[in-house]
Amino acid sequence: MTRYLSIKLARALLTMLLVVSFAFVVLRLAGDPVRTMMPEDVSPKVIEHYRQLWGLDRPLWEQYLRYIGSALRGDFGVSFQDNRGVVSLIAERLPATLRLGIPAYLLAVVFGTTMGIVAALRRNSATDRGMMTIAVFGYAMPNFFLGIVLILIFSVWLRILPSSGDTRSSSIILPMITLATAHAAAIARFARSAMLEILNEPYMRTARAKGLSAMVRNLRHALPNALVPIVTIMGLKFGHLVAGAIVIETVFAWPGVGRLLIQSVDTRDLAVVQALVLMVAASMITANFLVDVFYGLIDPRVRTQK
Amino acid sequence: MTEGNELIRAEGVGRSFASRRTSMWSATEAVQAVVDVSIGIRRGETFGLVGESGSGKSTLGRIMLGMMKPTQGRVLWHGTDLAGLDPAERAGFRRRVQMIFQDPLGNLDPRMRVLAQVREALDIHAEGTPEERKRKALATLASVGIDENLAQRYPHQLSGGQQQRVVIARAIILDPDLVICDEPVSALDVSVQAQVLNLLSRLQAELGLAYLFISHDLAVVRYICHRIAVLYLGRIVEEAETEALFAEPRHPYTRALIRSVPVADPAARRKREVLQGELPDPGSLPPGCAFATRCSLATDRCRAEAPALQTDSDGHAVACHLVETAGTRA
Amino acid sequence: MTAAEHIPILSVTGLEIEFAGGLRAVRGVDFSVRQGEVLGLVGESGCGKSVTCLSLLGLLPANGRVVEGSAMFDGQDLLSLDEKRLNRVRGRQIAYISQNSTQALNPILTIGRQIAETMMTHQGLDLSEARRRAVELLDRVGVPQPSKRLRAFPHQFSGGMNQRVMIAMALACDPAIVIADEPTTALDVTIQAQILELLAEIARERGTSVVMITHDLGIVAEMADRVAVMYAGRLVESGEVTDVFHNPRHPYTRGLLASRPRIDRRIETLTTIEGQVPSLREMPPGCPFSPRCEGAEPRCANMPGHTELDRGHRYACWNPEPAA
Repeated sequence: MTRYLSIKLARALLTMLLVVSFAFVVLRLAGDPVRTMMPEDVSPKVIEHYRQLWGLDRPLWEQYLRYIGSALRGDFGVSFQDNRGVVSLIAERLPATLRLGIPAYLLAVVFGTTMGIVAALRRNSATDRGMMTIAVFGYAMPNFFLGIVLILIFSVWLRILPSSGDTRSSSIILPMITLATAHAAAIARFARSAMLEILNEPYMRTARAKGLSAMVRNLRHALPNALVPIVTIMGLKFGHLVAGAIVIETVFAWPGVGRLLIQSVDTRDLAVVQALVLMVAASMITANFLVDVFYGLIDPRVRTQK
Repeated sequence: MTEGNELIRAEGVGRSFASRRTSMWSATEAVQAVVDVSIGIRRGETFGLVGESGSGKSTLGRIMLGMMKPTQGRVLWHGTDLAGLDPAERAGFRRRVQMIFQDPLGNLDPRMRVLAQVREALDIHAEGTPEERKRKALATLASVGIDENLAQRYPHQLSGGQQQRVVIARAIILDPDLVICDEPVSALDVSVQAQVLNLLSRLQAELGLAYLFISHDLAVVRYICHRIAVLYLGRIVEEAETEALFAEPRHPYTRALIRSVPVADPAARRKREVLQGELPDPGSLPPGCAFATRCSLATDRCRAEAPALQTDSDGHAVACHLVETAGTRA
Repeated sequence: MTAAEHIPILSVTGLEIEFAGGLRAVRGVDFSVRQGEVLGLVGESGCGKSVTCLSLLGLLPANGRVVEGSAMFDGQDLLSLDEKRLNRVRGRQIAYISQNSTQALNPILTIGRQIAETMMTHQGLDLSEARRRAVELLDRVGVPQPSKRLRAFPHQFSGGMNQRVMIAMALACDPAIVIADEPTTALDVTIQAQILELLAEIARERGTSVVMITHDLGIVAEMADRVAVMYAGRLVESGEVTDVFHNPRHPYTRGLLASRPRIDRRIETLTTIEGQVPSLREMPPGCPFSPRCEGAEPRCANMPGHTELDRGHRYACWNPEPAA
C-alpha cells in the first residue's frame, strides 16, 4: 500500500509540475505580457521599466525557475486590474464558490448514487425507468437553461426564492439545485451501470447460493465492488466543481471564483486567469489522487499488487 | 534419430520473459518459459507437446512458427536457421508452416464471409485467375466438410466445429508442410472433438502434412500423435513414441499426469495416485530438477543437480536421476 | 449398498425451463438424488444440465424461469418456495460449487469472511466462532497455514486453492446435497485429480450427496454411483454408472462414449456422431437426437417415453441399441 500510494503521489506531483510548466509556456507564447497590458501609446521607457520590474529581461530558464519558485511559495503575482495579490483576490472569492459547490456536490453524490443503485436493484421496473428518464433529462439539459427555468418558476412566478446574488440565506437554494442536477444525473447513470455489472458477476451468484439475505448481498458483496467505478466518476465530478461553477455563478450572479474568472478573461487579467486555471487543474489532480487512495482502501487487488 | 527427413528442428531453444517484481525491493527477474528444448518434426508425422499450464508448450509453438524469437538456441527449417532466412526464403517458410488455434472465432474476421477468408491466402499470392482461386477455395472447404451454402456465411453463423473446419481449410489451402495446432479441439464439445480429430487425421493421410500438436489433453494426444514430448515448467522431462510413452512412462511426472486423467470406464476405476502440491513459482526454482518439489521419489541429488535428458536406443528420452536407461545415448 | 442409500432425498419430476422468447432449455426432466450418493449429470454444452441445477436453488438468470415441474426435498417443493424459504435451503441444506472458483469468490472480501458468513447466516455463530470453524474447514480441505490464509484474498490464491476454499464454503453447514457445476473444468489435470479426490473423500466421510455436473465422462466413471445423460434439454438415459457405461441403450450415450479418445488404450479410429447439437430455436419435433441418429425412424418424430430396465436403468428411445 505504501508503495502504491507513493507512486500515485509522485505521479500527481509530476502532473502538477507539468501543468504549471505548461501554463508558463502558454503565457510566453501569448506574447510579451507588458505590451498586452499597456496601452498602445506608452513610451518604450515605461515598458522597459516594467520588463525589469517583472524580470522579463532575464533569460527564459531563469524566468522559469523564478516562476516555479514563486508558485511554490504560493505567489502568483499581482492582478493588474486593481494591483492586488492574485492569491488574496481568489481567497476572497473562493469561500462563496465552496459554500455553493460543496453542498451541491454532496447533494449530487448522495442523490446520484442512491438513485443509480436503487434503479439497478430494481432493474426494468417502473422505478428504474422513471429514475433513468429523470437522469437523462437532467443530464441532457444545459445548466444555464435549467437555471433560467428555475428562476422563472421560483423567483418570477412563485416569488418564493431570490433569483440572484448572495444576499439572503435562501439565495443559495436555486444555484445549488441547478449545479447538483447535472452531476447527480451523471452519477446516477454511471452508478446504475456499475452496479448492474457487479450484480451479474459470478460471485454474486455464489452469494445467493449461500443463502445470504438480499441486504447482505447488496450491501456487503455488491456495493463495495460497485463503489470502485462509482468513486471514479465522483472524483471526476469533484474536479469539475470549480469549472462547473463558472456558468452557474454567472446565471445567478453568485460572487464566487467562477465570476472572477469570467471578469478576468474579459479584462485580460492574465495573472488571475493563470492562477485560476492552475487552481482548477490542482483540484482535479487532487481529486484523482484521492480516488487512487480510495481504490487502495477498498480493493485488495490494488493494495497488494506491485 | 534420423535427422535427414526432418522438416523443422528446435535446437537448445530457450525463451525468457521479464517478469514483474515480486516486492518493492527485488529486481525484475527473468522467468524461463522454455529451457533448452530440442525437438525435431519429420515430414508427415504428428508430434505432440503436452503439459499443464506454465509448461511453455504454447511459447514453444510460437517459436517454431517464427512468431517469437528464442532467447537461446535456434530453430532450423530444412537445416537452415530461421533467423538467417532471406526475405524470399522467409516468405516460403511462412507459406509452408501454418497455424490452427484453440479459439476459431477469435481467429476469423467477423465481417468477412468464410469463403473470402479461405480464398484470401490465394489472393495474396495471386495464384491463378480469380475464378480458379474461388474454385480451389470451395474445393478446400468441401474437403473439410463445409459445403457451398455454409461457405457464403459469416463466421458467427457457424457452429464452433464448423468454424474450426474453416480455420483448418484456411491453414491447408496453400499446401503447407507443417501445421502447428495449439489446443485445436479444447474449446469444442466431445462429439465435435472427435469429428475434428478424424478430419485432421484424414488430411494428414491425404496431404502428407506434419502436425505439431499442442495440448493439455493426454487422451487426445495419445489418439492423434506419433511422438510425444512431455513438458514441465518449460523443460522436456520425457520424449518417446506414443505407444512406448503410454506403455512405459518413465518420468514420475509423466506417470502422475497419465494417472490423473479420469478414464471413462467404471471397470477401470483405480485408486488414483494423486500428485500432491501445486506448480512452484517458476521465478524461484531450486537448482535441481524442476519437478523435485512435487516428486514423491525426490532425493537430495534431485534437489541439487538438474538431470539431463538421456535417450535410449529406441529413442525414448527421459530426464530423471532415478531412471536407469539401458544403452543410453546421451 | 445399504437400504438408507436408496432413499431419494431429492426428487425432480417433469422439470421444464423456459428462456426469454419461449425457448425451452429443459423439457420434462425427471431424476432423483439418493442419500450419500454421487450423481453425475452429464452432457455437452447447452444440454441444460447447469440450468437444471440452478433452477433447484432459484438461481436461474433473470431471463429464465421454471414453467412446470416439482423438486421435492425435505418435504417441500423447492420450485415453489419464496425467496425467504429458499434462503434457508441454500448453503445450509443444499450447497453449490461453481466452476472457475476465482471468479466465483468475491474479490474484496477475505477468504475467512466468505467462509464464515455462511455459518453466521445459517447457524447463528458469531464472527470469532465462525472464523475458528473456518480455520478447521480450510485445514480439512488442505489449504496450508489455514489461520494465516483466513486473511488472504482470492486473487492471492491459485485456481486450485480457490476451489478448495469453495469446497470448504460449501461444506460449512454440513449440507445434505452439494451441487458441483464443472468444479474442475478450469483446472490442470493434476490439480483436477486432487480436487476430485478431496470432494469424494469429504462427501463419503460426511454422507453428503453430490450432484456432479460435467461434460467429462471420465469424471463420471470415476466419481459417480449413478449417471443421468442429457441431450438438448432432455434426459435421454440414466441409471447406475456400470449399467449405463457398459450397456448404453440410447444411441447418444453410446455415441458419446465412443467419440472420446481413451487414455488407457490405443484407438485406431474414433467413432463420431455426425452433425451437431440443434439450437434451441431449431429443435426438431420428437426426439431431439433423431437428426443425428443412424437408427432414426419415422416414429422418432414423436418423443419416446422412458423405458425402465433393472436397477433403475432408464432410456428414452424408440429404437434402442441392443443390450450388451
